[in-house]
Amino acid sequence: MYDQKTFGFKQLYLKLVFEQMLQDIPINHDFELIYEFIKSFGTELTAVNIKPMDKSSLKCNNYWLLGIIPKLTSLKSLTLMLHESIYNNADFFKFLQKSFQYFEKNGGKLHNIGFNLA
Amino acid sequence: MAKVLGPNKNIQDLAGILDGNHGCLNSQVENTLQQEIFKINDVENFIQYYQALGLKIVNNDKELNDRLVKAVKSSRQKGYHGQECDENMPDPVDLSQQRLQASLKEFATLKVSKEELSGNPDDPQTDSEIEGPKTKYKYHCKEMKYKDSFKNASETEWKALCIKHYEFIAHQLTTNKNSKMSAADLAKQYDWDENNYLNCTRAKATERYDVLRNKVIAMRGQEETLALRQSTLA
Repeated sequence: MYDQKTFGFKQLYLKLVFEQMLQDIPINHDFELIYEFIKSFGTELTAVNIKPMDKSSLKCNNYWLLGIIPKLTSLKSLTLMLHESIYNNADFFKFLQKSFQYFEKNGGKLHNIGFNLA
Repeated sequence: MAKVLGPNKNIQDLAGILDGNHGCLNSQVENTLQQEIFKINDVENFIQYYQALGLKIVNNDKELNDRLVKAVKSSRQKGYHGQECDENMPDPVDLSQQRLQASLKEFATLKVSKEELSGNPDDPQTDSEIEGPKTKYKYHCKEMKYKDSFKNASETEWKALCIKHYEFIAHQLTTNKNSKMSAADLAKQYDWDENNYLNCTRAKATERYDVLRNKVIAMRGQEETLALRQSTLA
């Protein structure tokens, strides 16, 4: 998942900043910042953890998955950290599936996908 | 839930127990719940409080102080409290922007514009009685690119940034034990912490249940429901 030769402190820093941005979306709703970040530094994002967001704080419901995952074309490993309230949420998985379809269409190729069930 | 019902149980199991017993908990669960509540009443200080939550036990006052200061900072940053009682406290959106921009501006140049939002009378968040006539802003990032000084930055410079902005990295790399950890190892550790430390896994729940069971046996002599009920009532 993290190659000792290719995954350096640059990749680590960008990964941590990106995950912080995702975590802050329910607070700041700033998708423009995330899109610009992916446009400029997306090639360095090879392994990312994604946590589902509180839908009630977002107007876009689970649509954010479609806005972000297809743009991360350098992604090789994705871990979804799911909690109990998501297990039976068919809507979340529907958007996730669609986002993977667009991801593939954009040239993305995942090597690893993890589901961490808390 | 895990403490009272035991491991491998979830909200559906609880609903099943209630449905199967005319909306009442069975004696065993009721007793365990009571024992857990008694323990809450016994908590007298923050050391016991963290212990009761199953978090890492603090060893001295300094550690406890650091943890409490961190908890208040984190809570404030996330906007959990303080809005009603502190009018001058920055908006959580502004705090989030400040936090993110502090991390980004170290290595990138950003073009960000600020749009003033007009208040919506239907929006409860802009109710002037609660928050006062505070101006809210929306931020628009138009461009982001590497700073000239960071275009060809070395691994050491990125490492310094990681240490500066992330406490867990600073802790690992500045202690003698793990000072040679690689970025890949740190990422693995971060993922592990995110997955296991903040969430209660089944293994962790089992471990906590075993600890609880041993404590009940130590306290009450046995863990049978009838004996527990009698000792609870007594």
